[in-house]
Amino acid sequence: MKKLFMLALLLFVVASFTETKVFAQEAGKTAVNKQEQVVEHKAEATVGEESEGALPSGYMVLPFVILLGMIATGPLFYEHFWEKYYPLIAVTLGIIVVLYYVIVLQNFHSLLHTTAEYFSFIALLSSLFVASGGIYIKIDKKSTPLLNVVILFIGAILANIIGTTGASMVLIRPFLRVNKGRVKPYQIIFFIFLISNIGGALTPIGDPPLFMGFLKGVDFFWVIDHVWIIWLPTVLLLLAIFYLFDIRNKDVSEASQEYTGKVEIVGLKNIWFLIIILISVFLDPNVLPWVPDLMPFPIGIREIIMFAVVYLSFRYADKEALKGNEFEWAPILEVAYLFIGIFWTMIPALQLIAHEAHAYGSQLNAGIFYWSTGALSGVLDNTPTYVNFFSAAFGKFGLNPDLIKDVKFFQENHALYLEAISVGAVFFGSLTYIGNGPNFMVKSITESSGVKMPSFFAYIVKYSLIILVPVFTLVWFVFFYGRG
Amino acid sequence: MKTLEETLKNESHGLCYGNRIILPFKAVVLKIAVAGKLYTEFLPKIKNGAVVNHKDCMTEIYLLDFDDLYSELSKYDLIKIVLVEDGKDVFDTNNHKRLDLRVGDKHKVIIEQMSDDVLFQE
Repeated sequence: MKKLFMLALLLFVVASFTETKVFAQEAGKTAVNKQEQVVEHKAEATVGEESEGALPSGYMVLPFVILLGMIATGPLFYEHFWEKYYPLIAVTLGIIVVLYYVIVLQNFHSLLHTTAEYFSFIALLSSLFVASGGIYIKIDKKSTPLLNVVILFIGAILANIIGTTGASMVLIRPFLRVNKGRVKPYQIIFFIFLISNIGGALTPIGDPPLFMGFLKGVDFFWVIDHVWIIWLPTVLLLLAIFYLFDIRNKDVSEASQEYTGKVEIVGLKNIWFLIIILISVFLDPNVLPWVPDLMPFPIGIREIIMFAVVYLSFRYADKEALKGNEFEWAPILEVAYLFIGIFWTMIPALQLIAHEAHAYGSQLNAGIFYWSTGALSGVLDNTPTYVNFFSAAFGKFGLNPDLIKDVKFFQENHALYLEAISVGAVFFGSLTYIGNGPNFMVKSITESSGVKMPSFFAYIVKYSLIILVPVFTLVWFVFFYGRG
Repeated sequence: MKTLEETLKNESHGLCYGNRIILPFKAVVLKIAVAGKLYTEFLPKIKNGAVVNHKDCMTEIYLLDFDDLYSELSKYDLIKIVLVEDGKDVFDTNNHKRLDLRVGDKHKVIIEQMSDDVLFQE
């Protein structure tokens, strides 16, 4: 498995340096040619970065469809095979697409771009995972529906400060511990809805799609300014529904256990590592021009710092906190393996989507952007989905998403579309276990504590379709219907 | 043959070879949770999942989803197990014992009674 992974990385490195060579050759061309390229770039930029070069064959969407199909059906129908071989399957399917792009399309840019995005994604996720895994919160209070609502609401806010991953890691165990004796899957599902997804819709740190928007030039505080009005009623509505579920949960251990009411935090020093992660988020050449760009390497200064935090925050973590959190690498490794496959296999799918969205941009209103971004974010990864619909929306108005001034113009004059895409990408990540990285982690940690979670389909049928879809429909009706 | 009580009192250890855990007492295993996996079925002839065998003075557990527990589990990974000692009434929940197993160096498995701090729902 490691050899296969190394082979994939080797292929990628070759592709990266080939692209560098191509860049170098281009640099030698005449100024006229450069001007032509710029004009051409401007014309094509509205299609989005992903659509550079020839479009892939529709058949190349198959590895992606197969991978998604297996992620959905594996744990249900061939659990043990899947658990043993999912890393091999994910990486192999990814390599098929990598080879197609290298050999057939000779499109190195998409590979480089996507792999760099993957490293940014996994660097942020893994650093938040490890740093927050060293913080252990003990809540010695009796479980009540109201206390659960308070924890979920605090978690939804915290998700905007340390990300949905960090908030999920810090709070899932206290949440399980508080509910010891009355843990039910619906409680964990609402935790996924509110803390692992919807909560993080207010800042670029909250969820990776918004982080991508921030990197492209959307103001850091634009999101909270424009989305809180949608976020707050949605969160409150879901908390109200949760409360109605939770007061019916009578399976409370009536043992005469005494509670001190104390909240104790072990491993507070890891908060410094979380602060480093938050600061490093801004260390991007597109945000701060003095930050060196390490291209063609797929990682930058920010990712190096985040990976260093992974090592240091684990190395110097409070051992009691790690023990209390039963820290294990399995959840983040699962995400790392599955998402390298997802990121690579979805390159053709996203290119085709971007192409179609551009072609039919004039027919797309804010509601369609909301539902399309949302529906795809539920089953694909929400980060690239956001980026593509972001590009498509720019295309609709003849703007270039790569120009900061166009981004500023767009966020001020077409805010509704950016709201629709942002809300769709973040909220709908909670539709399935694969909609957002932390969903899987929460499921895995919960099952480690002895609680059986619903299967992939049961999650959708019993919870997403019944609770989320009506709530999201209401959001659409109130905020987007008939507008744009 | 040791009893579970003696094992805990004397801090006796179990053994681990690959995916095989050997406990120095006989017991009926009810539930195992490890690394995000939950086992409640222990059928004798399966290819994946968990298998439990009883010998005269020990209990063997094969966790078939792993190749080598020592290398695949971190030092903070617990194998959480609920069992009932051989000869005791399985249906009396007071006999249900919750243990932590931690795979250590030299094939040793540290066996401890699960503390209340450990997250585990039976």
